[in-house]
Amino acid sequence: MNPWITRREMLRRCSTGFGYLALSGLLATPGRSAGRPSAPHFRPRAKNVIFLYMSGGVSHLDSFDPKPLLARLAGQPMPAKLERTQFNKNGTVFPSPFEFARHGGSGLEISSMFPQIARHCADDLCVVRSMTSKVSEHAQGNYFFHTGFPTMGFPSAGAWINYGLGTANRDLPGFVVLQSGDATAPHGGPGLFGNGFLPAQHQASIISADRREPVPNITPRGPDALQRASLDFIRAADTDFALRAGHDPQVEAAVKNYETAYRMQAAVPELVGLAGETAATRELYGLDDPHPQKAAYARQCLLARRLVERGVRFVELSCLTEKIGSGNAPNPWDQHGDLERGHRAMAHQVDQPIAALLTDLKARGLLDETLVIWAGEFGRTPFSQGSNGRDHNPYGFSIWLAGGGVKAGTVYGATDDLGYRVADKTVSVYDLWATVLHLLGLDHQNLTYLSGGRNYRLTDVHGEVIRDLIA
Amino acid sequence: MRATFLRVPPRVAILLAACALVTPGLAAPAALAPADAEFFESRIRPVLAQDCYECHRTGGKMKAGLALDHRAALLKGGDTGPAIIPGDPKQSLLLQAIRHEHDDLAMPKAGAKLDAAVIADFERWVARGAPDPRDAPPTEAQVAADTDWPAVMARRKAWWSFQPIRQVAPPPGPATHPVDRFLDAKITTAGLAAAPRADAAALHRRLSFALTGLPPDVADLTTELSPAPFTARVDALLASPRFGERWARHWMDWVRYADSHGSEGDPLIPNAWRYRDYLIRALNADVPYDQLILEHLAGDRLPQPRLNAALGLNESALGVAQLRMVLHGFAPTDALEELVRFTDDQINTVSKAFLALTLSCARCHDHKFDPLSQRDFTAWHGIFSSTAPAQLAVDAPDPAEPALRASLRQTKSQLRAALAEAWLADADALPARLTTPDAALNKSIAAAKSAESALHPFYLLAQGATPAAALEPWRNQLDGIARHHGRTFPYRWDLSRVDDTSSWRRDGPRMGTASAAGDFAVAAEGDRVVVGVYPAGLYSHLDSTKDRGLLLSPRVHLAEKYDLWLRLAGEGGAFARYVVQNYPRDGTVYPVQKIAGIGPRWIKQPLGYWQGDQIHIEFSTASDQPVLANPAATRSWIGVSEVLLVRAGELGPFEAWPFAAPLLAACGEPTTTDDLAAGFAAALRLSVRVWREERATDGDAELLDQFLRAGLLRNQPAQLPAVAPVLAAWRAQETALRIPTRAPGVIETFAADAPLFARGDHRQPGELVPRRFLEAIDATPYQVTDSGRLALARDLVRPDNPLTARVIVNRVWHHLFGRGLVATPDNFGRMGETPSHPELLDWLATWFVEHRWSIKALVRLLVTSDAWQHASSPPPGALERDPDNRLLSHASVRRLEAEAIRDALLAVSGALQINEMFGPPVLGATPRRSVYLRVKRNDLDPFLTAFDAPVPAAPTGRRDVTNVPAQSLALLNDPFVRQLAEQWAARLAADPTLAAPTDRIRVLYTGAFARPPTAEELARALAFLRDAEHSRASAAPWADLAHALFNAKEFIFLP
Repeated sequence: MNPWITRREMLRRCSTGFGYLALSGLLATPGRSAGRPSAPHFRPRAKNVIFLYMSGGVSHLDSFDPKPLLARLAGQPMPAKLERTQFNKNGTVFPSPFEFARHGGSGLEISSMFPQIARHCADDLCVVRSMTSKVSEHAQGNYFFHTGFPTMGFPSAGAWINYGLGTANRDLPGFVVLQSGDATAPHGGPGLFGNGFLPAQHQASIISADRREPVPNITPRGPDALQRASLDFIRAADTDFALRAGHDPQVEAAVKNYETAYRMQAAVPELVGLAGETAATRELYGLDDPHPQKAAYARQCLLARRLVERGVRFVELSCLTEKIGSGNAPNPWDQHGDLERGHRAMAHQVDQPIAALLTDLKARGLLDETLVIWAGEFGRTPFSQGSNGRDHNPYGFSIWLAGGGVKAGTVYGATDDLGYRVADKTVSVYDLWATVLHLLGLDHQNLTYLSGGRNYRLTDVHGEVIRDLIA
Repeated sequence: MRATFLRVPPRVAILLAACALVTPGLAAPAALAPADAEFFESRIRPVLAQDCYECHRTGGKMKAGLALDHRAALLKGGDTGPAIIPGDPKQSLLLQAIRHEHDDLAMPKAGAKLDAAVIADFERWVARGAPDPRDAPPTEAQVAADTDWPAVMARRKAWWSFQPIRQVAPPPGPATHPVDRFLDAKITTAGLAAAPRADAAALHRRLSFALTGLPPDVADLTTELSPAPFTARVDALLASPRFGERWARHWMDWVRYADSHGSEGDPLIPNAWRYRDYLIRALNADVPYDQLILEHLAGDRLPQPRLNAALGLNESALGVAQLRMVLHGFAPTDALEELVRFTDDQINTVSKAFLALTLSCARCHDHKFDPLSQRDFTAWHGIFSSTAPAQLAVDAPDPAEPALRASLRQTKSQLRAALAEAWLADADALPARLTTPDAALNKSIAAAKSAESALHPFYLLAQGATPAAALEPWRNQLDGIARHHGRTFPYRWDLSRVDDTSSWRRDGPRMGTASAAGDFAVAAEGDRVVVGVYPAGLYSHLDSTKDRGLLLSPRVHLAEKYDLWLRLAGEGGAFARYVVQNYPRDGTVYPVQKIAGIGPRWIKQPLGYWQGDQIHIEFSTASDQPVLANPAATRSWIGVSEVLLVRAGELGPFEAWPFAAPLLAACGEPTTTDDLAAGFAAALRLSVRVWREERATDGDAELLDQFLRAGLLRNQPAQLPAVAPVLAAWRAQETALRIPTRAPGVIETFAADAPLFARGDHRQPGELVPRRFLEAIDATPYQVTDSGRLALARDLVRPDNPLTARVIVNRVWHHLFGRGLVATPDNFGRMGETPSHPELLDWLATWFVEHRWSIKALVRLLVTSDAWQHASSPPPGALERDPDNRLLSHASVRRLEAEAIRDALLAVSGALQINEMFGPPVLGATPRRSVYLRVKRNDLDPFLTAFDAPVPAAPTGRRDVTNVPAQSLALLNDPFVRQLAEQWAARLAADPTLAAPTDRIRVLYTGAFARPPTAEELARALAFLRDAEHSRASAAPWADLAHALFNAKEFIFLP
């Protein structure tokens, strides 16, 4: 944007302005957008992001980071200095109850927790075994993972990406969080998906995939003819008023906003209605699975594909609780006790739907331009909490990426032999987002926004692009 | 646009022409002319060193391959060519960069554009051939000298907002209002004429919303709005209680008001709403702004607090609640990081809200742009972290209370005498009772399996022990008691001793001094007389269980792994805990004892996990924890006699039963059950006697307490005919005692300077920085023994502080005109905007202080200006010459704030409970003003959020005004909005005077827009109704019409 054109002038010039204005909503938003690129900084490898957030913290030791030493030391005290844990109920070395095997041409090691992902997608995954976080508690950890800061008030990654790239769909928000069943926002609340200090149109819209009203107030309360008549009446009144208000651009934009809202009333039900999806697709995702949580998560996965097809930049999915071992709605993977049963149930919920999503995206040629991120806010301890749970471990854990220009079928980094701390190639949350932004064609150091006297970034003052993750 | 921008300004062109005659060549390597050298050293070198070297230094970052630290490097340049072409400022890349001629080459990067004067200096310097004495890259020492903090700060202090407020007079002009004279001068200079006055409807709405946040009362619309009645209308609105509700909400934005702390669990901040009510009362009472600032920092420390006789409140103490609106994480394993972060939250709020400075940006290093050092941040960190989060008692002193307490205590001593008589009789009857126990006593004996029960010997007897053997467990423990008292512990506080209690922070009527052994508490209700008889210590309830008790130990650095032992008693949900680094919540590794009801006993808490951290130990009554308080609890109590820290793994204190000593002494060597029973009776008699004479020992007190629990002493009013009337009298007096009013706050505890954290890393503490104000204004350390909050508060309002008055005047201007004279009301630093009318800002700041810092007077002054009353239609030429209307030649159209939109919907429809003021927060479905809605951080009201109500994470002086579909969808489809439309329609339908549709339409339009419909609008509305009824078969055409008017832009915009 040319900074020398004033807001008024720009609005005045935009003869076709309405669609742009209604969605960009940059009316009288404070701060300057000098940090917003007019074009991508680099050639983008991906256009969209699907963020499979495993809230509560998946155990890396039981999924993507096999540690045979744990079996040998089973039941013994941890032979390492321990950091403070969240519950301070540290037990002894706790080997994984799951079995690991090599899969696909790449020979990627995946445990028996994720049989479908292992069978169908091993060669698509880029597993990072050296992920770290700065926080070992859920809410702060969730904020840190989403925004780069451990408290509310900062823009979520999805908001930053929309700010950086703009929207590609006039009728849908560019940042969508999907929920279904009794899924809720992770600990920390909906502020995790907020725009922070960025203009409000970059915040996430939460779509409840299986609710009668998937977005608040999206359903007209009367027949369409009645609403059209009301809108016509309102439009007439507004036309008079806009004239009296000297064609103030804010007023005119607010007038036009009603047309966007009207269109969204149709676009959202079309989206969540899953019209046009075949029985084979439903079957692939497990949409009609008898296990209700799995069917609900499958619906999110299918919707995620439909959203990226429609140009939505950033889609985040929400796991549902299986109510095992401290895993409640905001933190379903949080098995402080009963880890084996809890992780098995959680994995069963997401395994087939996620495998289906990757398969489907690939089949439609969308995986190349869609970056899929699978991660929780931290991993879990190699020693037990109580008798059969694991506590939080932010000092080394696994996440994976797929599609969107990452090296498929590879492993990056390593934890120590106990799986407790990173031993090689530490990756921080800042590094992860720096890399994600890079794949989207954005330089994380130049994606900035002035707020409170400071130019903020998603990566704060840190972050390195991890070139080795990029194909 | 670009072409226009690149056109060389005439002034520079002249400069260039002049310089061309000087024949500039390469910068001379030889000695510079003295004038050139002086110019370079004073104007050029400091800027290069302070603003450029960080990224462009030889051997440093050398971004874009460019160094600017010596002459040859400038001439050689970087990746894009030479930085300067001596003699040619226009073609010199460096100058293009600092003039921001190219979007992607705007320097200094991520910083504010350099001052115009500095850029002019560089132009002059390059035009003169860029004479530069720097033959080689500077040494570290040279760079350090050029960039050392005093040098940097001296330069930065020249920024406008740090300059003294100037005494200025309004410029001459025909306008009578001084504000208009300032504004008109610039409007005229720009060749513009001001817009005419707005029409009556626009003015009525503008005034009513600006002052009260509500649409005008239809009854007031008949008022002519020529100047005199307008002023009368202003005064009426300023006097309305709605004024405080409106402006309190603005203020709540400035201090990021919230009812909860956020994060996992998102706990409520108990009594936060009392602060909101305080703001409303203060603004309605027009309490001077400087007074409110004192109260916001140190209202609990004022020598003469502002008391509210009607409500019995110490208003001043409520101001400090803003320090508690911080975010708190959940169960952080790094407690110190949490402390630093939430203290930073306090510093951020205070510095932005009252000084419009971003002191938080100096947490890890000196400020990048402003004259604020990391030492400044640390000085404030010391001030705020010298307190602890708390619930404060905010009652005004009650003149009747001392007499009431005196008579309560007098009645209590009568009770003691009456009880003693009765209990001596019980002692006489005791041997018979013990030797031939009735069923109830037998049950008690059978339950006395533990030696901590006074009936334990009789339990052992029943088990077949000899009388002598029955006393053995007690004899054995006498040694243990002696050992316990002889032992040394890493930390030990005997809270019956003045020496030990004096280091604790104590709050509550009975927490001042330890009670003597044998003091007792009377039951205020229920079927008992005495709650308990206690050993010496600190007990909150010796007058009443309504009283609050709060006890904080000194801070302890946990150098080793310790166990904490507490000997305490309590009831009613009182709290005992240790607090790590001031973290006030509980959860996982932050255990808290909530005491339902226990007698004096030892409780252990392991502290090993927190080795290396600082803790303090805290006891409180149920309503007096900063976060965990239960505001609904009216009666509880806590009592403590001893606190110990023992090395982990070592023996704890000996679990002693002091009552055993007098019993053993009296029993001697019993051989029969009768002997034992007689000994018990003798011991009891002795203890009652000394208790009656107020000479009891801890052993006597605990003996009486044990015998009460065992049912060996009468304690029911019905059993005690001589006691009952005295008890009744005591209870009657006790009802008159107030339940304390609590509000969030901080209390003075552990005054200490904070260490400078290397690069902001709290694990790397450095030297201590004295607590003090900002060095840019006054670097003198505070000579105080407390935290320094009051001293800081006074510095905020001292006359030579150039910021405070300007900041508040600008905030008020922003809320009235839609944009501040400084457009960034929270930032008067380099990254903020400069004032559009600096003289006016200074004149207003001076005027405001002279008018006793009166917000109402300031509002009155501003809204009575012609400028504020202009129409919004731009006068000819204004859009071209002043597109952003910074000159205020006309009014700027504004959208209503979220709260005003919701309140207007409620008001217009007749649903608003307008006279319901104050009290605990309500949810959105309650038809009260939006200022009373709960602000729960993880569950913000969706309607208000859609219309840009701020997320309460940091001060928000200027809200976003966005235009997102959620707004249209809410007004179109939100059932709450629809319901209000129906309510409005129903109200009209019920009004017999409004039978004619045209009359009803008139009422609708007047209610919504403060004006009657035009003929065309009338016809349109009638057609809409007709269609609704006939073609669309609407069930409620009038509600449809009302709903449509809610959706008209005129409803939410002020022209």
